Amino acid sequence: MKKIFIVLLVLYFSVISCATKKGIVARKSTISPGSRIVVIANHPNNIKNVIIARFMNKNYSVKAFNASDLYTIEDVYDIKDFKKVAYVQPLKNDNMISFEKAVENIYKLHIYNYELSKAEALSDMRSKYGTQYLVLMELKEWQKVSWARAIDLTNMEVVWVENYPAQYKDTLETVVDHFISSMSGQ
Amino acid sequence: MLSGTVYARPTVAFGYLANKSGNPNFNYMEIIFPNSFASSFEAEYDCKVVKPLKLNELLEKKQLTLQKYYQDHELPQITKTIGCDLFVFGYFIPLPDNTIKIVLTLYESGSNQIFTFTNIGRMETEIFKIIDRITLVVFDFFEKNGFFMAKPIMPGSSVGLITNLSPTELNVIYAEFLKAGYSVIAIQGNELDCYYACDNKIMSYFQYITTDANSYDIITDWSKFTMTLGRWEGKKKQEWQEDLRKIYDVYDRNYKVLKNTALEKYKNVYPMCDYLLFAVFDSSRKSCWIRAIDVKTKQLILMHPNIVASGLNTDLEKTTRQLITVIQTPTALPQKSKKK
Repeated sequence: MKKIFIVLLVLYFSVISCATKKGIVARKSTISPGSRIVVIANHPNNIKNVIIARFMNKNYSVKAFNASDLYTIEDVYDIKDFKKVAYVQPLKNDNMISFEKAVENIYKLHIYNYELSKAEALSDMRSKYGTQYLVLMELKEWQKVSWARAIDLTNMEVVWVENYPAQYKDTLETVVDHFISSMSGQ
Repeated sequence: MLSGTVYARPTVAFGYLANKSGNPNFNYMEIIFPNSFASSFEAEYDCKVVKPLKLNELLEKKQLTLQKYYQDHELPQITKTIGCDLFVFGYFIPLPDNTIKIVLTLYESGSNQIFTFTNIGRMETEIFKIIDRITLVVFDFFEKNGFFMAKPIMPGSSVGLITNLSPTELNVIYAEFLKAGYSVIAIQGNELDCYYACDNKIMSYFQYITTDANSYDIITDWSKFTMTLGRWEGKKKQEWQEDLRKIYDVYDRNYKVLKNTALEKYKNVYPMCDYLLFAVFDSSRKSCWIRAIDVKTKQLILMHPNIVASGLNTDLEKTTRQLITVIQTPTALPQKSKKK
């Protein structure tokens, strides 16, 4: 009886852990070969080359834009300074409570504006590079979940998402090929 | 011997609904409206309501008078004096085309959080509908711990999500929305990672949303803010205090203007985006709270304090499905037979 319980417990936890790693895919429209895309992946250059090569082999027009991030707010505008401003000064506690809302509003405004700045940068990507789709990709090692997402830059809509737990037999190329097939609906 | 469940009936006090039209012919409605809301609310909810005239009597015993309008920071003290659980007051303005705009403020005693919402309807033909709508909002807010729905978000509409999720989790929630027939606008998900998503403290700030018509906000009492001014402070201290004053001016008093400017730009940058949906999940992803802004009107339209999926083994997928069910299900008052 005890053994059965332990086996069931192990099974339960393996099911739970699988649930967090399971693959998902959803597609609103397909991105057919020939489309002009930008692929952004945060990997060493040799891996980036492999990724881009797989797309090129499938006749996608890959634009030369491959930054790991579009905008790093910490570099240019340290919003934490405001928080420091709020606490460094030896004011009374009541004053701090009053000031807290203003500090929170600074953060909120910053996030509203941060998302605007990113969207404007992406809009430039469409107008200056002639890009139709932005493909984001992060590849993980075996048993971990690699993910990819495609955004139509004409309307900023998410058109395809996939989480793919890499299989034992998978290689870097097969995972990228899997994403390309899924994205193109083939 | 007969120990039953004993609970105190909450007390809901209704203040005046101030006439802001400038036309004294409408003054009689300052009491009629809150009386109607109070009666309607009492019919739906097992509580003790206190109407404006009675409330004024209670206050007069304490050498006070019921005011037509209260500043936010006065609410904690006035509710304490009244001894109520919820205080409702507001104002109305008759608009052209025989419509009326009613703005109500709800303050739950001890919460330090204030909820304001606006309702517009036809003065004569729809007056009972307005009362019903307002009763529903008050009921939802009080009974469902801060739930508010001005309108549901139906499949087919476009939703931009701001969450505290990792990229793989973001894909899960995007997939569920796509499967449910929504268009998803890549607001947060247009980069490999999002530096603020993992910061739960920053995300928690979005619980409070201030918009022109509807707002859920914390009360700041700047009257308690003391600044000692004088020559003995020195120039540096005076400059510092001036900076503080400016920060308060820009980021507290004029915050709504700045945010509206940002949202106005969203209309151009994300032209397809109908709704901005903030969804912040707990660490186990088994529950979340949400806030939604209609990008076109820049108004807060939806708040839910705690969405939890039913059943065992709930996960992000199930919680998201429940979230989708919540946002697309219109709210309604319970059946009369179910009155608590």
